[in-house]
Amino acid sequence: MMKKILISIIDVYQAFMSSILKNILGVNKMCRLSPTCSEYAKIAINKEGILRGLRKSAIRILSCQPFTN
Amino acid sequence: MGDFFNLILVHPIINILVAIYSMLSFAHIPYALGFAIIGLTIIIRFVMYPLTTSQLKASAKMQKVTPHLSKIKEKYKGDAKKIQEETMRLYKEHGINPAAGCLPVLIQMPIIWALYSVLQRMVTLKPDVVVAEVNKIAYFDFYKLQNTWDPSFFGLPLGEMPSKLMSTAGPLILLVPILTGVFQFILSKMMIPAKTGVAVIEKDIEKKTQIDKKDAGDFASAFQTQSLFIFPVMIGFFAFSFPIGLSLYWNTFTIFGIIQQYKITGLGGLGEWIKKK
Repeated sequence: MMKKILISIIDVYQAFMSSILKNILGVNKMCRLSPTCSEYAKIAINKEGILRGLRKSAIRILSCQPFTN
Repeated sequence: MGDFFNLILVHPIINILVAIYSMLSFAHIPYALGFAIIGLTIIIRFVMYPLTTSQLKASAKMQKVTPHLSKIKEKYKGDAKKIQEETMRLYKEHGINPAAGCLPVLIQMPIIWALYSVLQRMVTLKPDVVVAEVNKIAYFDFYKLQNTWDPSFFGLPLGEMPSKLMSTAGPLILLVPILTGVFQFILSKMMIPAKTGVAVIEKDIEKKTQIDKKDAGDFASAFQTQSLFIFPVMIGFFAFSFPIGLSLYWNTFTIFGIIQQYKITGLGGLGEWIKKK
């Protein structure tokens, strides 16, 4: 149940928030990881459960910065 | 959380705003509050300038390599490790990796939000509480307010919404939301790279993936593909229902963005339209 709610929140983010953010910040393609972090989060939550899934997604978002390869 | 946000972002920004305001009104510049909002926005934009620049450059580069990426994905379908390897190699070749990432984006979001919440709070203060409220937050005595401020800018009341002014000021007030939408559209259009051979291929690929995604909800996918048009309309609607002071902030923000975008990637998608005429 919680899983489904979380995943549909991410769906809404992907559909609307993501393009709003891109417009505000002026970026078209901003992901260098593939699949995108939000897609990854959906898969991770689905596969590994809420806690582990969220933790893995957080680590992944944080790893997208200039100091890692 | 709210207190922490106030402490590190909202209150410092209010202090900058009030300091600029006091300076301007000390110099007897009219409409000091409006100009202080413009000044504050420009300062914040300059602070974020390096972040935005690196992100715009990275975005332009990413756009260039996207067709190659799709080719890699197709070529090594099913072999996730190989795809990852080839992708990283491609990034290195184009010099994408070290400068980019979404950290610049994550840093800018709270700043943009803080600026919004500061102005929302400041322009809607009642004239009789301005001095008390502002001086409570001001760090230093020398720029504390002596008198309340004039909340109008060239006749426009910064704390009022165009939606409420319609009855008194007439339809001319609609120019505020319309101009806000137009500036936003110009920026959004510039963000789309000019059509080259590469971009056309990319569009084909996008079309293919769109067909795959069709069951994901027509409204959502329409929103994504049409965001060039929908987003400016949305911003225009916000400008209609938010205090005019916020539109002043947003327009300054957008115009700065247009100039920055022009310096870094040129006219982009807007170029085609200008050349046609």
